[in-house]
Amino acid sequence: MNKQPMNHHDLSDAEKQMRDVLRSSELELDSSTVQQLANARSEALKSATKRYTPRFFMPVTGMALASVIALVLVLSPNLQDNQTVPVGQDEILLSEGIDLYEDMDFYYWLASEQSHLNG
Amino acid sequence: MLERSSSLELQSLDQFLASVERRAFSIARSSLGNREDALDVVQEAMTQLVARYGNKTPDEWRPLFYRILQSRINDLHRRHKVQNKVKGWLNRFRDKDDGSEIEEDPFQNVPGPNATAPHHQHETGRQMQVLQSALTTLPARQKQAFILRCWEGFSTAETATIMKCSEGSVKTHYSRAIHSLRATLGEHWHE
Repeated sequence: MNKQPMNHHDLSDAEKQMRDVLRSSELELDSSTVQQLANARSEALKSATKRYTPRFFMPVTGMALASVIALVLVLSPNLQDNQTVPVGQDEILLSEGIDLYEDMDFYYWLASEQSHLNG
Repeated sequence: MLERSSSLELQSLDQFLASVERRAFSIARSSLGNREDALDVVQEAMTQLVARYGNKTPDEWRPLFYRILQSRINDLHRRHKVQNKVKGWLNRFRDKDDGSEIEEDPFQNVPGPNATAPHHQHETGRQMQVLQSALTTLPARQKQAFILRCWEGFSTAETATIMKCSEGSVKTHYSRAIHSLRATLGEHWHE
């Protein structure tokens, strides 16, 4: 693309006259407008310190966050269903141990009978 | 070091905005026909340039600034169209004018420090008024091409970028605008 600035010699007399009238009107601004423009400039420069976030940033972030939460909620019950809880050997031994203690009288009786027979 | 470069950048931005603010306001007022709207649009364009393009090189600021300004002007035109439709619809149900008037502050119209001599001001004001009313008769795209090419002095390529169209379209819009203005101003304009 040609980035040459416009050559004002290309303008016709009528165009030049129009341009001069338009440009001279810029100098006729009243003091109140000039002051308001200076205030507007000052306000704009203050915004330079603030970080710019595009308009679409908030909705997009919200959607992404909602999708992640939905994904976690949908997948988490499946994870629980597929889980196999390992049973420890101690627990098996413990359940067998309880039976052993419950039948202790029988084992004492058996042992005494045996010793009696052996005699 | 970072703070120093940022301070220099702000200084450059301040200088740039100060150099374009009067013209930007005059263009916006000419396009919108309203002082308050023009001030709002210029402030929005300044804020957006600083916030989004402050880190660009100063050479890039001018076309970017006018691109934002034109975009804001177009947005406001669209908004006004909708508002006018709603107002027109609502006015059917309202009572007619109640005769109340808003008093103007006389100090609002005091000329600024760069104002020209009264007789020259009067002549320029008359010519501006004639040109302004001729400009209002132009279609939006032709007016935009004329303002950017003739008033602001952008090249055809720069104008095309700002207007988001081809250079050929800019040439067509501009040529038609000049033709219409010359035809309208012919009897009022002394060459």
